Amino acid sequence: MKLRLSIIFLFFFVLSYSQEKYTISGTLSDQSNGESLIGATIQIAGTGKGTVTNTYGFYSITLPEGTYKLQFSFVGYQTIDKEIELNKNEVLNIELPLETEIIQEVEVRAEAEDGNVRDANIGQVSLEIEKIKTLPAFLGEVDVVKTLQLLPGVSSTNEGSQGFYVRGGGPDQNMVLLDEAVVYNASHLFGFFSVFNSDAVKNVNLIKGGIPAKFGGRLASVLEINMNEGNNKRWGVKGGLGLISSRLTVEGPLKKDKGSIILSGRRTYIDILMKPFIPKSSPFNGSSYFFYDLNLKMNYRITDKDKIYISGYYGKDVFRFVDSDAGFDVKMPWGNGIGAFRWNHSFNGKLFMNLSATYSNYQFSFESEQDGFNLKLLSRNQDIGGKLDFTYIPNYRHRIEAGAHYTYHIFQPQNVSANQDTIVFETGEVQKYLSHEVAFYIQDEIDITEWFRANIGLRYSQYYFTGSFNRYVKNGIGVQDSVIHYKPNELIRFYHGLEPRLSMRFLLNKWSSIKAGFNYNYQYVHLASLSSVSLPTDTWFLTTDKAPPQKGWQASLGYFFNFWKNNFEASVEVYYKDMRNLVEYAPGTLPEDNLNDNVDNLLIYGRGYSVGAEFFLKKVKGKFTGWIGYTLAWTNRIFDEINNGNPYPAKYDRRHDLSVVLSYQITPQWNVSSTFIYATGNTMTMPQGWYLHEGNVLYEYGDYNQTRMDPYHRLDIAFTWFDKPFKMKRNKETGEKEKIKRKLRNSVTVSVYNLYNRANPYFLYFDSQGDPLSGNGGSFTIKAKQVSLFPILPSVTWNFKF
Amino acid sequence: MKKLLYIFSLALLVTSCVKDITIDLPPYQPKIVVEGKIEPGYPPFVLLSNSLDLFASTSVADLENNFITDAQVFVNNGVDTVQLILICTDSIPAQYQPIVAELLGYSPSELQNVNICAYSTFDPNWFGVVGTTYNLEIFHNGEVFRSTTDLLFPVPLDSAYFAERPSLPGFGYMQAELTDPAGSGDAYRWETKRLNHYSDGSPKDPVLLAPFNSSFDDQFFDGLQFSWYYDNPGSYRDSTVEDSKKGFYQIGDTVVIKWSKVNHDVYQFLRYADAQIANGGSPFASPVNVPSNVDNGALGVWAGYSPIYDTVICE
Repeated sequence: MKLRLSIIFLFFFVLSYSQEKYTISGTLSDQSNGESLIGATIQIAGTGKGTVTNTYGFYSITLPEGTYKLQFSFVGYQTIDKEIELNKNEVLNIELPLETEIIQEVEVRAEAEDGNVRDANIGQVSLEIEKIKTLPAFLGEVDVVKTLQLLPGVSSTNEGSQGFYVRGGGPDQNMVLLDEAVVYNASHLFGFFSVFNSDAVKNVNLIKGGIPAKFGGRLASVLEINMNEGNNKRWGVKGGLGLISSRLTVEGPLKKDKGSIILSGRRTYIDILMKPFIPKSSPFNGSSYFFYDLNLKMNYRITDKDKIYISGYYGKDVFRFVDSDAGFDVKMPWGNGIGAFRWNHSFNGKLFMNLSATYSNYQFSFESEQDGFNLKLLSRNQDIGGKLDFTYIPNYRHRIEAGAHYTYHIFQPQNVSANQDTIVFETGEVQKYLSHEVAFYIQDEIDITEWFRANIGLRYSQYYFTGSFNRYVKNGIGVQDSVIHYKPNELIRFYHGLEPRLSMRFLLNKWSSIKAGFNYNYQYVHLASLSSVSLPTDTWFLTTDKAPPQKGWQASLGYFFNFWKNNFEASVEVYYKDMRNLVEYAPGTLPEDNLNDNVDNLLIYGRGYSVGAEFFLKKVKGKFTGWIGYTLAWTNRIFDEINNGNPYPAKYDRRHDLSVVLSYQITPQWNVSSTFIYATGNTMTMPQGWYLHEGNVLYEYGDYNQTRMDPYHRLDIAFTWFDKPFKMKRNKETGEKEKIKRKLRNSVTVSVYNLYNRANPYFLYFDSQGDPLSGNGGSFTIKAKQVSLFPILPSVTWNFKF
Repeated sequence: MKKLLYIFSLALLVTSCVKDITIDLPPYQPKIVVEGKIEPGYPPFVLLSNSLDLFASTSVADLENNFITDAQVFVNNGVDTVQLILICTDSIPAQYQPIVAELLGYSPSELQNVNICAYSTFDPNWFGVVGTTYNLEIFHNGEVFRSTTDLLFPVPLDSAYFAERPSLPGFGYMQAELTDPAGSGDAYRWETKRLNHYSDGSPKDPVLLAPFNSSFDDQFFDGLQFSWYYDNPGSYRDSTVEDSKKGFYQIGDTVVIKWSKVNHDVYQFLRYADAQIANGGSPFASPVNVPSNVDNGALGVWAGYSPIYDTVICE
């Protein structure tokens, strides 16, 4: 092992040796508010060489002594040219001015003009939050995750399902990071909305293939979401009023140009609006549902080389059901709490460090009371993590990143307590699963030749499952279960593995390239669902002595090309993914089986594979923008205990998935956008026969997921009106009209969801009609019924800022 | 939790639209269905039929033709074996019809509409005896299906009483208390029948009825004393009870409780059957087959029930 690592380091060293003398480094930020710009381009004019800013807006480029013209650019901003005579190391912090107010709101932020072709990223997509805001949204709630699902290779199971599915992976196989802290449940209201408040989000980056070595812990994808940093120039307020929720954001400088703070909140108000209409005499008076979330972020530049960030998120869904007639009262809150502290340090312009401490908590609880019988259920995941990441940019040919990550997992998959007055039921001891996950990585993005760029990386992960822990050993009915007790910090099981990563770009010409990617990943957390749809009740649990880590590899190959002066970007990607140690509850497991037992005693383990082709055409410039994405894919699972070990389609297996997203800037004040989705129907496990027991109909289910629902398709449309950024005002002194910048800016979005009122399938059920024993001559039939959730739904949202 | 998911399902159904659809299912191979029962003091009853294609329209005649009448059925008590004979309800003397209805779980009126043929015996030596294990063997179409069940010693309730709801005077649930014997694995089933009659003289509950989740085991209260309540299953099919009063017993009801001890396999069958019935149509439930205690791929159950009967007058 040591020899192999030494060879790799030597390789990087040899490749990084060069004759460069001086380094230009610094940050790029928005001139109007000081927000750092992620992915902005720094190019050396006339050479085609350059670099991009990292997640913190930092860049570094090292060049031989000489005179250079540097171009700092970012779509939506004016490009700044800077001529520099390089004879010493330089720090250049650049603030880019907006092109115009209007363009800023509607223009797409894009990668470098030919970045689609030139960079080595395969399977990576960035979304522009301002663009997302103009797309049609369900009930006017702008949703990052819903927009991601419009990209090829990304899907949802249906409207009311949590999470998202990437290239045949499960919802647990996506690493969702909010300012580097893990988000375990990114959904509100069973997946109808995501936890990401669009006013608090700055940048969205999804990696679905060729995952770099600096990311790990999940098989399918990485979704990086960065929160806005806040305006460090002046105080401001922005917000929005929608049909079901309102948002308000306050931001401003802690110290001008040095640091800023942003606080953003959102709450639904269906419960408040409905309250006056539910009479006090109603048995359901007191029942309600709402969710809220709060985002807080602060940053402060301590020195020219040091900057700290503190980020926090807290969100909760609260469901309460009261049936006073039945004396039934249930409360069900669930939500995430996330905190991150980060320290950036630039050592010498070439070496950049980020130190992070993160905390993630996802908690679901259920409390019910009826006639003295109290039931409490708690499921909780906590991660306490630390990351130390270094970026070393010795010259423009190399970008070396290395680091170490640590996470302490504390999971309580399902703890139940129940009592009836003074009697306490035996629901087992509190089940706590503890583990330490450690990873080391190194990667280098190298321009080996002008046409060949590679990102080579290696990640080594370790996992320690430790006590204290009680392992239940089931001994059958009538025989007392035995329990193995593990002491605190006692090592129960150790896993480790190497995770090689590689992505390559072969530039064919100025307009096209071929890219390839390979990644091997370990995943030490699992999610199992007893339901046919994803719910907040789904159980997260850890790799244990019994549940091995998930492992998977993915290989992808793509052809990328731009045309019409980079106005259009297109790509075709094919992929194959293999997944091992996937988990499912054993067939026939019922929810109550989780009690008095280790969750992993109820699981079965299998494998899966996914193969597909993704076609993507995007227009990135001009009044008319948008994309068409199409995916052809197969996703199968193989479990010995299911369907006699034969492959069966995963529930989110979709043969065809088409998304069309179009946006047209009619005038500077008006934008119209539309989305269309077509997707093969989800698979379901259906009964095939029935029989009677004591006069009740019982069903005999067939093989898993052998029935498909009807295809899902839907057309949405949205119109957005922006007020004019300037107003004319007569100057009292000169008497002439002058253009005055508006302090209060408004926009209104009217959207229509499901324009042609398609009854899309949400779930199917069976209904029996007639009674064969009634003797009235009628017959008994069972009919399949399809439930659809949302008909045509108009909505309006008013957004403002000042 | 189940109740909560039920509420969600209901809310979804209320806010959504529902339409009939057709689904293509693979060709269905019917399986033999065993509905067998033995209780202390009663003869074994075994009803054999074939499971039916999901979308096949089924008339009374179809149901009658679906019963299997050409099987050979044997019961063994560990010492002797008896072959059960085929008895059809149209040939049973009228005075025995309510007993047969009770055992089969069908009302006497339903039995008048359908001619059900079951395998049984009139030999009192083969009436169920507590503490005995009964083996079942079925020969049909060249195949053999076997099962075993027990008549366990019953555990009496400590008490059972009508618990009137303060918010709904005159109505309430049936409350019961039990001291579970030490040692895990005890499982029970609850059934009730109101002895009251409608004004036309017909019985309110023609047969014993089981509420949702009628069976449970002592996983959470092994060796403990605890109490619980059940709603009135008969009220849901009682058209004289207004909707807001469904689920309740009312003052004046005379209720027979059949409190049975069952073995683990029977409990598993009942538990999964209840889960299937309760979850019917819920998008949140996972599809589960009901595990049979009959081998060779048969459906259904060969069940031994050891009951103790109590009568409660709601007052």
